[in-house]
Amino acid sequence: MTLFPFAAIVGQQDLKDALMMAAIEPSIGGVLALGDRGTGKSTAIRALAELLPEIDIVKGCRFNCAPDSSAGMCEACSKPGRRATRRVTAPVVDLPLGATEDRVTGALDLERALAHGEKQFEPGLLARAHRGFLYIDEVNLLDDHLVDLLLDVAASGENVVEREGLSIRHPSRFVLVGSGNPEEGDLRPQLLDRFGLCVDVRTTSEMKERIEIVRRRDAYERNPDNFIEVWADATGELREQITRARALMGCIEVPEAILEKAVELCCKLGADGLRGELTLLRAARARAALDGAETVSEEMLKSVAVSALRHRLRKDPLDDTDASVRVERAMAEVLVS
Amino acid sequence: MILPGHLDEAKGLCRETLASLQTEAARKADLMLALASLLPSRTGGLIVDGASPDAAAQLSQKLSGWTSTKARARRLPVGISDDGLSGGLDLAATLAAGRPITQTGILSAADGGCIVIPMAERLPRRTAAQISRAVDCAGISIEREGISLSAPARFVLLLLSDTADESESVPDILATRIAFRLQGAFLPPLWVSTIDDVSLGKARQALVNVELPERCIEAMATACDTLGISDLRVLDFACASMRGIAALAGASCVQDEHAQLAASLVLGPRVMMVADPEDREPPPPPPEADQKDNGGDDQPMDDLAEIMISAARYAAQIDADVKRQKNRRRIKGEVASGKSGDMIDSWQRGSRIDARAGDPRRQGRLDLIATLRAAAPWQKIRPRREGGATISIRATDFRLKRFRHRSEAVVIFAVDASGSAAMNRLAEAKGAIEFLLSGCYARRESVAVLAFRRQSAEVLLPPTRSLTRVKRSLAGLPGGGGTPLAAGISAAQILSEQELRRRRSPYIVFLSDGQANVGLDGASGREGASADANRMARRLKGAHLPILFLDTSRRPNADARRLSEEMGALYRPLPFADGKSVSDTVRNVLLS
Repeated sequence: MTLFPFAAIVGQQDLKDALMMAAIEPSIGGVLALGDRGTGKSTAIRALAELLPEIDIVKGCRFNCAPDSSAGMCEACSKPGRRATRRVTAPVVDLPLGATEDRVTGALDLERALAHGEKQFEPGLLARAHRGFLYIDEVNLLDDHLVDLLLDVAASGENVVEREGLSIRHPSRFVLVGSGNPEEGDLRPQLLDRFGLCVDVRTTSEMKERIEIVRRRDAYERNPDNFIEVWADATGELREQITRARALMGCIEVPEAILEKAVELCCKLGADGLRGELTLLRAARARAALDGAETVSEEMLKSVAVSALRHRLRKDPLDDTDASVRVERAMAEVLVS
Repeated sequence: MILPGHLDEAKGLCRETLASLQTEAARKADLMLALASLLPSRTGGLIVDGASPDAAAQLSQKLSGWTSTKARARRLPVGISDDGLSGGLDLAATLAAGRPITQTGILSAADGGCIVIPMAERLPRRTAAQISRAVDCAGISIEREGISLSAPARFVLLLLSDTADESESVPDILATRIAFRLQGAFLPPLWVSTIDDVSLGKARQALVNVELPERCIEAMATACDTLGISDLRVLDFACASMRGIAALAGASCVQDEHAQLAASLVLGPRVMMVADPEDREPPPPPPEADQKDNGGDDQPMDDLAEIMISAARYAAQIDADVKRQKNRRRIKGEVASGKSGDMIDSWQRGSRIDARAGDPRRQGRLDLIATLRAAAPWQKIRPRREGGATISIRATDFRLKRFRHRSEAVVIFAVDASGSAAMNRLAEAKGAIEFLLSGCYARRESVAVLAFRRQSAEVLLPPTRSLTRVKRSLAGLPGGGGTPLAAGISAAQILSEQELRRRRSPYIVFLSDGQANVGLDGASGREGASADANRMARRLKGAHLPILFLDTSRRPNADARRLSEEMGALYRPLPFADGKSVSDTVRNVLLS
């Protein structure tokens, strides 16, 4: 199946930036895209696969293990000895609604068990998503126990399976991306907090943009292959940008003054816990890397603050103000320079 | 068909006879069916509301004939399981073959054809979401019960709904992905299509080569904007339809009349304000900069947009008329907004949802199929005892049925027993409550009563199902004193939060005239008291509970109305309602 190219998506800069930053710096902790219907949330996320640089995996490894042990290794790969590798596209795994726990964590291979009476582990989606993205559409419709399981693995970076007489553990580090429409049910606060960035996706009211969106959609529907061909260069450039930014990530500096501002901003907003500050700084660094800068500027901090903090504010039943507005207000007070 | 020349005719249609309404509906249906089958991936299909069974059968027959020559229309029952929808493990075949055999779900089985969903307004959101994903991805992927597979699923949807009002409709998540909506009340039981297979086949061939001029897209975007339609999918539906209509008409380029027809078909049913098309401002002229960019094209574009807008408005007016006529034929009580009891998972009762591992001796009911499924993979490796059973099942295989049921409702009556209300209509209020209660026991609802007067609010009756107790506490309800409305609202919220924690669904009914004169601190004074009451009302709104505010004053008054708005309540003045209608209103709040 062909996908609408990421580069051809009109507008939605916040979402596109957030996804690219998450791709550059996985420790940001994923992206949650909330917003109106028909705004291209899913289109953008599914198209992300095209942008991710390819990864090297150990040949024959079913858990996407990297040749070096930096991201952890499965049991087979952690034995000493050199292994052949192969290059594959980074996975973007789409979690279908109605997925059952056994397919998410991995379970006994039914075919082998039935036909040969063998006890063999069949890796699940968590193995497939290792070193890539795991996408949950309509995240507010997912069963609670599955959400808990995913959050647990996303936090620990390891999937532990103890079921049907199997005992397996393998690394599973992925960027969790969720999307949903808040009108269709609230998300639990603990779940909200686990996502690094939260983007509010709105339908554009800019007439020119709207026309351009439909025009491109029309062109794509008429001849998808041709359309993708036309956008191939732009896609390649974005991919390059991510690769460059990843390389740059290690040497980005955060000046003391920026650090203080970030902490002050979080205090001002009463964002619970330290997660807010950490995400804010990581996102600001990713922003700098994306822009090709070596130091984080106040402007960069500003550009990521809303999406890094808006979902961490305490709800005040007497105050209906939109969370983004509250963050912006606090920013205006703290970041006067 | 509402073609350009027929606009005046269309306007007059509202007053015309049944026969012309029927012809009109049939033509519209034909066109929508043809477009849906021409452009399955871009229009999704159609939603038909209130069609008779015969008409519905006609629709699905025509659609399946036009969509595919081979596949027949598949019906998707509303209560379909995940297995049936997207596929899963076929237990019988798996056990017989000794290897996992999958069964195909409706979504992938219907690939290339169409799916009919009767009673679509009852479709659970979860099912709707799964269908939506198949529409988005043109395929399904399943990850369940040891099966992992993807399959193409491209289909046209025909959703048959029968909605009485706005409170029930096809789940948004799916409805927004479907281009066409048809008011089907006047569809004749049988009609001959104006579109034949040959012209449809030609249109299908010509479709890709039909030119869609820029100015048509721009005009459609302007029309959407003016009509307040912000969903971009709608604009895309309309643009796709323009091309489809042109192809059906045998044109090589989209012309104004095609664009106009597309606007009336796609935008029409989505126009909200239909009452006063004349009163509304004409669309604002595009800003100067745009005109320069568009060069010589700007003038006709503007005209076209306006023609589209009026076409859409006429279509909307006809739809509204059909709806009105349909509803006249059925007398139905007012259904209030408000949520029904929340859903609770349980091992004991309710509707079946899934199975989980557990011990049947301690709780729940054994799910035999799921248990067998869990045990199946092990049969070859489990040692078989001599002369023992053919299937070996162990404790770890046991699967218990899980159910989901509505939580029990608790109706909390917060009664204003102060002087101002007591003098007025407290007696009627009591009558209304008793009338309502007589039906409560049978429905397993509990009732609580709290009263507020003088300085504070007190719970006269904790949640109970005993009608006698309720009657006694109401009969003894003392009246008189000030009105500590804020305290009453706050007490109602505290009580409902307690009930929520006990996994029951609270509903609050206020009986008051909304005239507060005692503040939270017990001090009298109209101004402070009403400020306090408003503040408590806003806090209560944050709890998102279903609330009914019955105004007990002699004349409906603005204060009570404002207060009920603050707390997000449904407002009803009691003077216009006898005990029966109050109880009906409460009943509808609870059970809708």
